Parts: sequence; C-alpha cells; structure tokens
Amino acid sequence: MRKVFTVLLVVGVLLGACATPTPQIIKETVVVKETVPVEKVIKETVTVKETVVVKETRVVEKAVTQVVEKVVTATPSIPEEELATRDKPVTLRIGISAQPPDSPFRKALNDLQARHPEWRIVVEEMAGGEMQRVPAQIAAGTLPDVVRITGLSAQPWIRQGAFLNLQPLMTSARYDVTDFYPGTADEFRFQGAFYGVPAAVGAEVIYYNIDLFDKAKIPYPTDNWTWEDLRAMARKLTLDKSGKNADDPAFDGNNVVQWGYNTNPGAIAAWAHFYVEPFGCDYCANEDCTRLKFTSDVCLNTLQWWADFTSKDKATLYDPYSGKQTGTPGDPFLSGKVAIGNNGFFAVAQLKEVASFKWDIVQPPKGPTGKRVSVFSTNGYVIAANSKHPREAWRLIEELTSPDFMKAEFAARGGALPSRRSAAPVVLATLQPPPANIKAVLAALEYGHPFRPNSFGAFEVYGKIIGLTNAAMKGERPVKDAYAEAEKIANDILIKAEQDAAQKK
Amino acid sequence: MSSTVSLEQTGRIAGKAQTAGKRRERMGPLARRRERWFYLMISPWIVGFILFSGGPIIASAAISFTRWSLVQSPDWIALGNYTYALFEDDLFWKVIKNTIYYSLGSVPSGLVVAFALALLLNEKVRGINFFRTIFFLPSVVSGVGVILLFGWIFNPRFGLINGMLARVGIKGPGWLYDPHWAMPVLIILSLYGVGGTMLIYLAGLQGVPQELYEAAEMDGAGTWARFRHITVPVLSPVTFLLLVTGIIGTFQVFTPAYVLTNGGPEFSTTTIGLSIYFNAFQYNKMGYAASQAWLLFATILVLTLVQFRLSKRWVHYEQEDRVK
Amino acid sequence: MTSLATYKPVSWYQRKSVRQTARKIIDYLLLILPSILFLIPFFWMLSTAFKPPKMVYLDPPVWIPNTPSLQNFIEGWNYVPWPKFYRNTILITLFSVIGSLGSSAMVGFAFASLNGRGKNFLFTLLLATMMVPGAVTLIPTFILFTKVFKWMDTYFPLIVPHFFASPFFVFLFRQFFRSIPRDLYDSAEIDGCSPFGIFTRIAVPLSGPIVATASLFLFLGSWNDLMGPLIYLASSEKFTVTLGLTAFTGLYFARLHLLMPMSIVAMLPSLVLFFLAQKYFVRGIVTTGLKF
Repeated sequence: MRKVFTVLLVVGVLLGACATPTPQIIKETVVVKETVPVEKVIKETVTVKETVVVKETRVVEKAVTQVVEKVVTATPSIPEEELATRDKPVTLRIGISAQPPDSPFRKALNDLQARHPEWRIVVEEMAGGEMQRVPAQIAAGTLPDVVRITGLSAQPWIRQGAFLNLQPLMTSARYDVTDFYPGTADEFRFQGAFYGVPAAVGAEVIYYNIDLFDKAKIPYPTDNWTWEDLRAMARKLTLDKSGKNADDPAFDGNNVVQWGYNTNPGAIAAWAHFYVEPFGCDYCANEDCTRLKFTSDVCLNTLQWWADFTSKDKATLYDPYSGKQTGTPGDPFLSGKVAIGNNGFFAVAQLKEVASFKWDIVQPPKGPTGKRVSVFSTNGYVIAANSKHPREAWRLIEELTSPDFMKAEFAARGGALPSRRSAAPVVLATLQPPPANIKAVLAALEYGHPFRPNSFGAFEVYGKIIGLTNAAMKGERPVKDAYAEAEKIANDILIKAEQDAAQKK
Repeated sequence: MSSTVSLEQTGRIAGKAQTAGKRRERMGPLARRRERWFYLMISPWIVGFILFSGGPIIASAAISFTRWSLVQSPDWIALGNYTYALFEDDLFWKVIKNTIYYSLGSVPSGLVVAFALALLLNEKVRGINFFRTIFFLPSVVSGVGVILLFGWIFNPRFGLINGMLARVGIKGPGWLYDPHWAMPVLIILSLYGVGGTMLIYLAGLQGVPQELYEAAEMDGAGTWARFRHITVPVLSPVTFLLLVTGIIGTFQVFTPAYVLTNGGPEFSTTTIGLSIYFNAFQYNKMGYAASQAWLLFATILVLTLVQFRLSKRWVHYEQEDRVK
Repeated sequence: MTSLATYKPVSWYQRKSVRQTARKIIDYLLLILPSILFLIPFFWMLSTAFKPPKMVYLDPPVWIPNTPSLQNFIEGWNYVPWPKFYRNTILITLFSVIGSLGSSAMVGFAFASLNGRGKNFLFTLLLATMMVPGAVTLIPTFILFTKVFKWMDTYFPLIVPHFFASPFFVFLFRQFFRSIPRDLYDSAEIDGCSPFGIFTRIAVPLSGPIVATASLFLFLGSWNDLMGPLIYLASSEKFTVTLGLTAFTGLYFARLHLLMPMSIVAMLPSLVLFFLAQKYFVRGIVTTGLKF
C-alpha cells in the first residue's frame, strides 16, 4: 500500500511543479499522469485506455439505441450444403456453471473437443450468477450458443423466444427422446415442442434417520407406505422437552425439540404438488398451469389435513429451514432435528459429508388413491435463439447429453443424476457407499415432475402467497380463507403476466 | 471560527457558487485561469460520466417507460409503470414505508454510534489499534456467510440475544421471523457495519487543528464546550457527507434483507432495493423495476437537495466561513 | 487535558493522576463492552472453521470444538485454485485503487477549491449518479461493456471505470479539501503554483488520514466486489476470491464448514492492510501541515 502512495505522490509532485504552464500543455500532462503508474505493471491497460478515447462518441449513441433495438432475431437456418463446405473450425460458446478444471465434466468436455476438431468449444463459466448473467446476456443478444440453465427459470424465456425450438433439429437427427425420464423434459417443453434437453435431475425422495427410528423402536418405512403411515410415524417421532411423543396426552406442543417430519405444503409453496397430488388435488386449473385453483373440496381437505398435521399434531415444521423453530438454520434433517424428511437426491452427497447419524431413503408415500409424486429440479441445455451455428450447437448438445458423456460427468458425484434411463442406474451404481435402498431413487425418477406453475408470473406468485399459505398451516388463519385469498392473488398475477406477454404478439 | 485568518479574503472565489453572469463580469485573469483548471481537473469524471454512467442512466430512464421482459423488444407504455406503482400496486407503498423506516432507523443511529466510537478510538490509550480493528472487523468481511452469522445471533431459540434475555426472565421475540421485529434486527445489523463511518469520522478528528483546542482551553472552555463548539462544527462537513451518502445508501439497501429474510415475513423487510431486484431479475419486469428505481431516484434527489439547502445552517466549511 | 483549578486545595478525586487513571478505566470499559458484541460473530466464525465437518451441523451447537482441526482449511483450500484467485484479485484491486484514488482526489479538489460555470449543476449530477440503483443500470451497463466495448471475460469492466473518479470518493475528498484553510492555497498560488501543483503539493500531503481511509475503502470495495466479477468474468482462471467463495454457497446447501474458514482466509489481506494503514490515521499529518 505504501508503494501506491509513493508512486502517486512522486508522479503527482513531478507533474505539479510550480510553474504556470498553459492549459494545452497541461492537458497532455494529465493524461500522462494516469498512464504512468499503469504502464509499470501491465501493458494491456494502456492500450485499452486508448480504445476508450477513440470510441468515445459512438458509444453513447449505441448505448441508448441498444435498449430500444429489437434484440431477438428470427430463427436462423443454414442450408446443409453450406455446413459441409466450411473448412475452419466453428466456434461454439457454451455457458455452464463454474467447474473446477479437473471436474469430470471438464475432462469429458476436453475429450469431446479432441474428438471434434471441427469445433472450437469456448467455455463460459458462471459462478452462481445465472440469475443475473443469463438475463443480461439475453438482453445484450450475447447469450452463448449453448447454455445450461436451471429448468425452473426456463419457461418464461422459452415462451418469449429467447431459445431455439429444437424440434426440427431433433427429428432430423433421430434423437431418442424416449430414453429421458418423462418428467425431466417438462420444463423445456412448450406447445409440444422441445426447447431444451434435460441434463441433470434431482428427484425428491424421503430420507429417514435410522438412529431416531431405533431409539423410538419404530419399524422403518417401506416403499409401500402411505401418507397416513408417515403421519402416524411422525407423531411418534415428535418429542417434547421431557421426551413425550405427540401421541402422549401429556405432550407439550409448545416445547418440541424433535419433529417427526420436516415440512408442509404451505412453507414451500413451490413444492406443494408433492404434498397434495397424492391426495387427488391438482391445483393447476388448466393444462398449462397458468391458472390456479386451491379451493376445490379435495384440495381444501388435503390442505386441512396438512394444517392439522402441522398445527394440531405439531409433528411437522411450519418453518423448517430458517431455524426459527428448530434453532439451527439449514436443513433440519441434516442437523438431526427431524426423523423423516423429504429432500432431493443432492442430499445424499451432503449427508455423506456431514451427517453424524445413520440414514436411508425410501420412495415418497402413496396417497389414498395409491398415487405417488416426486418433485424434480432439473437443468438442461438450450440454444440461443440468435446462435449463428444452430446445427453445430445441436450436435454439441447431442454429444453432451449422450449416455456416455453423462456417465462420465455424473460418476461417483452423488449431487444429481443424469436425466436418461440408460445413464442414471449406471451412475447410481458408482456411488460409494450407496444408500441401502438406492432403487427408491430410480423408481421416483419414473413418476416425478417439476414445480408448477413455472411460466409467466410464477416466481411472483410464490413470493406473494407464501405468507398466506404459511399462516394457514400454522393455524393462524382458516385454511379456506387463506387459500381463497392466495388463489385470488395468484390468478391476478398470472393473468396480468400473461396479458403483458401476449401484447407482444 | 477559524484560528488562522487570511490577510486578503475579498475577491477570492470560494466554494460557494454565485451566478455565472455576475461572476463573469468581474472575472480577472486569475479567476479565468482557475476556471480552466477546474474543467481540466474534473475532466476525468466528465469523460467517465459520458462513457460509463450517462448512457446506462439514460437507458434505464427510457426503460422505465416501457414494458420489457429482456427477451423481446420493449413496448412503449409511457407512464404506465409509474401509475401502476403509485396508484395500483399496494405493495409499492408498503415498500416505500419499509425503506423510510430502515433509513430513519439506521442513518441517525449509525452516525451517533460511529461518532461516539471515533471519539473513543481517538484517545491515546494502549492497544487502541487493536480496538480499532475490532470495530472495523465487520466492515472488512463481506459476503453471505457473515450476514448469516449475524442473523444467527438473533435466532429466536438458540441465538445469543434471546439466550441472554431468557436469563433475566424475558421471553425474546421471534426477531427476523416476526413482522414487527424483523426490520429492527436489520437496523441493528446495520450498526455492525458502522466501521466505515467511524473511520471517516476518525480521519476527520485527526484533521481538527490542535490550535483550536489549545486556544479554547486558554479561554477556559471545558471538555463539553470544546466538544460542542469545536469538534462538532469542525466535523460538520464530514457529518453532512455521511448523512447524504448514508441516506442514499440505505435507500438502496439490498443484501442483508435478501440474504436473511428475502423480504419477509409478510413483506415487512421488502425495501425498494429488494423490490427492484425482484421485479428486474425474478419477475421479468425490467420496465417496472426501472420505474421504481426512478421514483426512488426522484425521492433521493429531493431529499439530497433539501439537505444541501438545510446544510447552510449547520455545516461549517473553513473556506466559506472566511468569505462571509 | 489540564485543569484550571490549581489554586484551590484539591481533594483526591480532583487530583490529576487519579482523574486520568479513572478516565482511562472508563475509556477501557467503554471500549471493551461493545468490542465483545462485535467479536461474538467472529468467534463463531472461528469456531466453525476449526470444527470437524460433522460437528458443524450439530444441535445444540458446540461453541468450542474439543478437537480443533485444520481439516476444513485444507479441504477448502484445495477446493478451488486460491493462489490464482488471489493473484487475479490483487491485480484488479491494485489498479482500481490507484485509478480511483488519483482521479477522485483530483476531481474532489477541483470541486472544493476551484470554480467554473455549472459547477453546482455538475456536482449535483455527480451525486445523482450515486442515486440510481445498480439493479436497473446493470443491464444497460452490461450491454455497453460487452457489446460495445467487447470486454466480456476481461478485467476492464472492473478496472477502467475506476480511472474516471467514483462519486462517493469525489464527495469525500471534496468535503475534506473544503475544510483545509484557504490561506494555504492562497499563499502557494501567490508563489506561482498552479492549482494542480497546489493539489499535489499542498492538498494531498495535508490529507494523509483521508487518503488512507479512501484507499482502504477502495481496496475493500474492489476486493469484496461480487456482482462485477459475477457477470463479467467467464473463465475460472480469471475468477476472483469472492467468486471462489460462491463455490461454497449453493441454492440448496451452504457448505458452512468450508465457507467459514475460507472467508477468514479471504479477509486476511484486508485485515493486514487495515493494520498497515492504521498509522496514517494516527500520525496527524494535518496538524504538522497546518503549522507552516
């Protein structure tokens, strides 16, 4: 630091000599003053500063017009013959989340590059900034040719034309779509066409703490269990300060120290499907899930079941992750505060890292109708609508989502699973040590599907109704009232968002 | 005020602005030379403004008159976003209220705490460097982890605060999980970050001419009188700076609420900074976000101009005092 | 401080030495009590950092690990290439601080001591640029830097703007330069010094504490910047320390046991700098400067 001061002072004193020079001369000296310390350490900066000066005037002009300019161009199409005549490698930019250079993904990608000299694959990494970087690049029209994005945010962009429709490319390449677990593609499909290819999937399964089950002398859950079974077990596993469980008449519900189950549909509105669908409640009022209906009899009954579980039994948490109830921020299952918890497959990796108890997994319980549900979080590859090399980009995606590439990428990682039937079981087998009931995950992959709603206004809906749904679960407001209000707020937002988007057409 | 008195004061152009026309008439060669130097010396900022700030700022103003989801071209809807914010969106007014609450809660208390700490840390006692470091520590660290850490102290069940309250027989509130207490917690957390403000005060204290104190002491002024009539007025330009920038900063506050409460519970901590972020990057409503930003901008601008107007009554600049 | 009451017979509590001691004790008490409040989170941070991973998520929480271990530090350090990230961050920070310090001090001096038509308007404009929230200028700025200048995945968007003065620091320097008595400038000007000469030879040497403060702030601003590197850097060999830390915070799961030790490692340079800069706060350059 002192060096900096000294450099500045020396330069400053040199230039500030007490002569009275004419302004013109000084103008030059000022410029020199800024470049001198720079030049000493790095040359590039100096050159850039020159470009800055040159570009000065047209910059402002462009910056203003940029915003008004239409950024998305029509889907480019390149005739097949033209492709063949290219001799220079095609530069393909691919946007992914940040990966260590020795990650299995980067290794597999390097192999891929070696096998395809006709491409020059340029990797652009995002250090968790997908939320800002991708919108900014879409707006700037500089989205990489291929981007791996989370499925949750894909729909609004797909519906507005930010990504290329892959359907024409897919059919021509005889791509085997049936190899993908059906639910994994939901977030990349619009009006029957694919706009992205799913890569990774995390399926919700149920985790249980073997130590706590043993302590309570309760038999472990099996894949055949129902939500009623779960609730009954949860009550026995919920303990107050003095060790009495929730079935005990002397149970003190205000001083719970261990809970049976970790959460409910009100606490995480986006996950609500997981809890209500097995009971026969589908709150999506239309095919596209662009309208919601919580107030059907079956939905209200189901939600009431959950509210009772939460606020009467007090056997499940209404605020699982913040630490308000449990005292430990983060996943209550990880800290051993709940005996049974739903979680994505990614939890396997964390549990291995940090859990100080024995655990296993089991399929989500059945509802009264025998139906089960698992919720997916997915990510997948899309092609920028204005990509100059859509065909090559598609070929790259084909390679990236080939069973072999996926096996290499996901092997032994335990964070997520490949979205293909021909890859996921192989990857699961590489886990050391695997959860005993590992096949529960494979079963869940077959019937799971992502969050809904997921199109225009979905995030806003989740953000604005969660207070109400939570109040209903805590028993602060009648379920019927709270969900009626939530339904109105949700539909107002969804309608407005849809109208805003529709006016474009 | 000043102990050093200049021999020739009149005719000098001091910091205070006068109307251009008047000045021009009586501008000597010296003044004109100074004007040239003025433009020359602020030229880096002017160039930077034109190159890097002006464009994006004008663009964001233009965006505020459109409906824009970032993907398709923006639709011109004139004042639509503004009327929606002001007359239709109930949440907007709540957001404004929250923001004012946060700003009123954290700026004055932050200034007082920082000033008090700076006075303490200006004492020449052994180990003062160590104490300075401690109070500056929270300002050194950044990032989600540390905010989470601070939030942990306020955990209703196992947090330190409620633990201490329980010891004296008080049942502590739910803090971040209680709509009435969440904002106060964020304000208290902001006090953890007074290190920066404290440091600027400390630098200011170091700059108070000792002669002033010596002269006052000879006149028989006590500690309080010296504090009241020397330290406070001499530091008033610093206080003014910190007040203006503090209000600007708190009106834009984003990270702590984003990390700790995500705006909840019941929107009690949704500040306008958070609201702008959500609209821009989660709800695909860039146009609406921009209009909220410009309403915020207008509010801050008015507040700042009012502060500049009022500042003439209480801010003492060495240079100006002498011109009077 | 001294007392004027030297004529009267003094009781013990009025005696200077006693009063000074009492004052010192009060000073220490006033310093120590809030210090404890400020230190608790850091104690927890340290305790988390030195715990074996399986103790981090225990409940009730353990305050002092009975078997402190360096395992988290080692694992965290090997997780991403930190030496590279440090080098990158130091490079960015160094240029940003130099650029911003020089330009902001000069512009601040001009606003404080010189005059020109439109000065008030320009100053308001300068302050106004601080008032527009970054969330809405993010997209236009991104378009400007990446499409117009083609600066994606370079350090230029993070460094170059600093060479054109930062509003907060201009304001900071303006306030301080305005408190320097004008006669100093006047006499120098009579000696034939140009305003730029006055700036470098008089104003800057007089503002030691504030230059130190501003450097520290600028350093912290650059060092801890997250949003800039997040959206402009695209290859991991160019990443910064703060980006490295994001490897431990996930959407669903924060690796607190790695985040805490690495946060400590990440803040060390700032702490060291603060210690070094300390002497500039206490040296009292201004006091000596005023005497000529």
